[in-house]
Amino acid sequence: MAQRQFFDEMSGLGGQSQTQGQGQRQAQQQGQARPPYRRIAEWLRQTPEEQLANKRREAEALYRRHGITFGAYGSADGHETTIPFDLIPRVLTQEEWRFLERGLIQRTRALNAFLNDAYHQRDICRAGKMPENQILLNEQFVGLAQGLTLPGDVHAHIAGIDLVRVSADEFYVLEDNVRTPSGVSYMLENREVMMRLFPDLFQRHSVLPVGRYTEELLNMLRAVSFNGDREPTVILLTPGQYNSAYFEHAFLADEMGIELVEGSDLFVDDCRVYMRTTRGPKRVDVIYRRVDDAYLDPLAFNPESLLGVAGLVAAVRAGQVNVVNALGNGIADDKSTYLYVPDMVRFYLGEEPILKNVPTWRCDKSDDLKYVLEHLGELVVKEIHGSGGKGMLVGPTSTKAEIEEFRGLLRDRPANYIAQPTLALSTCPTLVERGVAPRHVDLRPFVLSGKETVVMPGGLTRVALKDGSLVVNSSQGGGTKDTWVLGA
Amino acid sequence: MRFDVQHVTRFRFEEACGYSIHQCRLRPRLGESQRLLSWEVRTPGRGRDWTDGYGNHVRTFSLTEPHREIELVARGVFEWIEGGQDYLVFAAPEALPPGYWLRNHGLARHEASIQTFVADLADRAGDEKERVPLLHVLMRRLVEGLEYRVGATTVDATAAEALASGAGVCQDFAHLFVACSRVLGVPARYASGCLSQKGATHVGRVGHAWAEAFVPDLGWIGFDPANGICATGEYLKLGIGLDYAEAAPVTGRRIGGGQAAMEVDVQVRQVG
Repeated sequence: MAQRQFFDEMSGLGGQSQTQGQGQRQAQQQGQARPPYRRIAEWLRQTPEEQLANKRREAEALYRRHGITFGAYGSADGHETTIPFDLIPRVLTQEEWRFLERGLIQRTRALNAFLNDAYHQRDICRAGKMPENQILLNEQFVGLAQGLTLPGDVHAHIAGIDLVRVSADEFYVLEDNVRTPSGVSYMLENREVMMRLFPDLFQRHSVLPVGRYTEELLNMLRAVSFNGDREPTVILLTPGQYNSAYFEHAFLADEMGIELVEGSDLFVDDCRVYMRTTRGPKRVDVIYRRVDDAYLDPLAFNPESLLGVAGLVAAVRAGQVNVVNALGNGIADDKSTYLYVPDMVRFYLGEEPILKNVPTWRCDKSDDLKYVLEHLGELVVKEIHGSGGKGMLVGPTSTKAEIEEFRGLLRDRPANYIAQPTLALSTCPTLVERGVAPRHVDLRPFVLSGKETVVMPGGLTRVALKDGSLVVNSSQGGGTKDTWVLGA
Repeated sequence: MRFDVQHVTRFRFEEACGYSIHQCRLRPRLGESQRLLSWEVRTPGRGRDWTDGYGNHVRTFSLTEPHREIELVARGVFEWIEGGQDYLVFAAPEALPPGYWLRNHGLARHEASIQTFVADLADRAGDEKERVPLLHVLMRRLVEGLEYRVGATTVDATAAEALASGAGVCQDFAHLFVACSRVLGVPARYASGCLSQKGATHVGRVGHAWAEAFVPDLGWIGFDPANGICATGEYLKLGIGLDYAEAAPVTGRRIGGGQAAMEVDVQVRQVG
């Protein structure tokens, strides 16, 4: 197979840009960096490799001291490791960001409108834009949430929308995450560490700050209380220290100055939620939960769960406590619903989608399945309810045996899978074993919806550290980068 | 016909229990031919009433002082209106459309053995006009294929386990009927409630359970496979769900209290 042409965000080479001018192309061929990366390129030229290696060790030490770890699910020894951090920032221009920001806010507003509709009248189905079974028979649909009206009609309070870039002017949404998206602590810590290690770089650039995130998050959480007459008490509910994202739970609770609790610290009385404290029970108004739906309330869902609180769903339905994100959001972000998001934007907002979806084949349709089976070597195949980069096939980088295994899976349970073209994910310069080399990246910006919808400038850039790999998930050997949005 | 209902649930704990929370579905959901003359639900502690996504009336209450005993009482009188339908039908449109009740879920989950059990009926299932006769065939098949025997299964037996054991109580019959209907593409759900001993032979000591299936142009019809009859106006429905767990009349959690004894006494008497 011919070498794929990837768009490199620093050099500007590769990819198929439609608007790139002749002059710009010439400049790039002469080895000049794209404008947002000029000073980064200069800095990389001037900084000896040895110094970068030292800085990297320093960064690792900082991360270890801060206790930032990540226990990969299913890792052989279950030990926690730090996610590799790459020193070279990923840079977006103000103009690029304004475009993405508008698109992210639009998409999140549509997802929220959809969730509210899906648990009420399902007008989108009546309008013929989506089959009702797509909602009702979705594994993630929560019958107990039918008819549940939430403050501000917001269900996806925190959304992580994964974006990929394929050229100078083309971005795609890879997936939406509106259950309990994680990773924001890395966005915040990466910036802290970069500012500590390279204060001079920040003097040479105007980089929009991301540090307000936790303040915005707390504002949002306080704004979605059912109990408007009370000063709201907000807490963070974690499954506990064995959860892979426990560090993030502790970090966010600490930054917001709210209690980090486990299910056993809470109880329900009179359909109200109370937290046990040394000074007696304290009533709770809003729960930022990082526990999955199925484990949230043994009286409503999995009766064996020890992670949740008995009676929590009753408290929500009685309008006494709000949980963030809402119950049953999984119907909006699974890979079969993804197909409908552009139509949601048109239906609920009456606007054309700003951000594009990746073209997707649904393997439950026989024509689509036929095409997919004939082109397995070129496509990416994903499980509809899969996450974390597991249960997927990346055709071009897979062995014949792996492809044949997926052919069997697709034939057995076609409705379980979707397929997409293998996207030429953009690359960014990354510090590797031998100097600096391009590695593929994606971007997860975090969108907060309370009284209004806001996005922190940038997000979490994930980088596939293995040469040629297109899988950026931390559980699959991915790292992270600081993401810069340049000021005016 | 009028019926007086006394639905009493008692828990006794071996030691004092410091905290307990209970959720009950004990408020009737009336069919087209039924009317409620009086009803009250008495529970201790502090609680609130709320409505779940299926329209069930739920009360969740809790006790935070040490206690050794809890009593829940639901009582009242309902009427089966003369001249109405003689079977229980729910025709009003509901928040969740019939399609929802095809979900393969929980204790009413269907798997290969259940598909095999009704494989020969699959052809007839596509014809909506055939639906009522089909459901009767299914009910007969359960009556003949499953023995009503208390103690044959546990409260958490699945439809497939009940089928394999060849025996069960009303809950198992209901789960199996629901699972079979769904396999055949007929929306179906679990119903919990009560009826008088006089109305049927096999009535659960702790209340009763049956199934409901959706028939286009008619609505939700009750099928009681443990007794081999359609539910009549004598059946008082207290909750619906995809399976027992979602419709259970009383569930709860507690901290401490040691061993607990649960006693349920449901009496339905015709009073006119």
